[in-house]
Amino acid sequence: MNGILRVKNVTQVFESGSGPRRDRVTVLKDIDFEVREGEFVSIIGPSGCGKSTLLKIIAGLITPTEGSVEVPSAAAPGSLPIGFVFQESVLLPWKTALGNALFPFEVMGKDTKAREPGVRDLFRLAGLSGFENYYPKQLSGGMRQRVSIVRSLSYDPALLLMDEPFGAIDAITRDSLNDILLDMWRETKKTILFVTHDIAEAVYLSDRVIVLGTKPGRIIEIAMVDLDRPRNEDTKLDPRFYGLVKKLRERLK
Amino acid sequence: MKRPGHVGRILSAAALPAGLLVVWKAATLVFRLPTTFLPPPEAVASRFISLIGSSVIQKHFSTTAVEIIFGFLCAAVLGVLAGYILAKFAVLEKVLSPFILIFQTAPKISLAPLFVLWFGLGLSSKVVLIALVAFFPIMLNFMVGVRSINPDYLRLMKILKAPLLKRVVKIEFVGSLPFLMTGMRTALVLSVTAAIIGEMMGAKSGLGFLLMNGYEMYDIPMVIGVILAISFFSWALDTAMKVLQDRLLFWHESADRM
Repeated sequence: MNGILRVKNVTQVFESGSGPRRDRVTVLKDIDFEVREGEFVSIIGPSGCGKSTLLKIIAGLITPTEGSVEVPSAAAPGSLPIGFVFQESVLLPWKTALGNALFPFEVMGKDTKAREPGVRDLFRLAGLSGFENYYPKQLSGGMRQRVSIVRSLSYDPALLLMDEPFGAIDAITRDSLNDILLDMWRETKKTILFVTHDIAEAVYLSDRVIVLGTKPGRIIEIAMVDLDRPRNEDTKLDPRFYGLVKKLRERLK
Repeated sequence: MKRPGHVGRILSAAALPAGLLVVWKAATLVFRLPTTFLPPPEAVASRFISLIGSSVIQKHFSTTAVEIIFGFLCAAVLGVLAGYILAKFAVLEKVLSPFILIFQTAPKISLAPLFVLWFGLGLSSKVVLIALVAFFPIMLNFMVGVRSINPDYLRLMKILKAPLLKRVVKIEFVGSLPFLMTGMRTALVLSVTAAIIGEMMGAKSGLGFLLMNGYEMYDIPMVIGVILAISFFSWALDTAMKVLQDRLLFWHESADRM
């Protein structure tokens, strides 16, 4: 089936320098996992474990040294398979929030006017109604990141990759962004692969959590999160929640 | 403390030129300076006014303006192309950088007499000189601008499967506009200087030619009048450029400070 993301034995070696004194660093070793259609999976690991590299490989930005990646095909014909949310919002400062969200269609040479109603719906879902004509510098960091998520979903990709999207955002805003993200996930039924270094965030959001170890980056655990949905503040009081967080924290030590 | 009002600000801004005029006038009176050495301000003023009204200066002005337009446009097109290539091909930049540095620091304006010799008294020698002088600030600023673009923008374009031209135009060009505009403003002011020097070295018309004529005929009121006209012209060009800069870069951080 095409809805599945398959990462098969991916190994990534970076070389620095040249000639005989060349350094070879194995960043990722034998990474192998699958993500089902509509599943929310997080990848956690200490900094330097290669989790961002893994996401870039899946996005097709880096060709892996070994192994392969099978990405689900685009949902609609003429769309793109992957949506990507970066750590920073990466919005074009010379375009309004709406202009930014429609930018993928501009790049693809599609009629942006025809796409506007759908994108406006996403704005509503992200709690951004009324801010369509604001420029990025007029928005807060959390709002910019929401516009960035809207942009990545605008063209209805089959897979959404998120690289520490809330890493630079304060804890209070981050909690509400997590809830907005879960709402958007439920509405759009996207497959999401979410990279973070925050264990509690990973557990709160995900169906499964993939734990990467470091040197070289490899999978040391895949944990199921059997917490009820929809999740909310009560989820965080559930003993299973902090039990799992504690277990994963131990695992990362 | 009371902040100076509108009138107060105009008065304080006018104080310096007014003081200068007084000193100037006093000097010509006290030292009994001949007009061929330093004419009094009113002589310059009346010459300036008659100059501005005459059709003679319009002809010279349009010569200089046309030279600047052509020279600057050549520099802008070549500077943007070369700047982009150097930004994208780091190896090329490494190989060329010592030569670029020599060229950049050399006083290119000193080539003016040679260009007059090679390309004649007409338009082309000035266009070449202006293009050469204006090229470097445009190229260097654009190169830095293209390089300073956050690589995540390029990753985004790759994920969106953007064609090369769209990436260049919609991200790299627009994204480096703040740098490009700074370079173009510097280049435009240098263009005026290059045009005047080029014309002084040898020309059949132009403001620099008129200036040289004034020197040769000891018509110092006209010399100062032409210098004033050139200064106003240069200031007007820079102001126009700044207005364009503000309009294009309303989104940039620098816009908040203006």
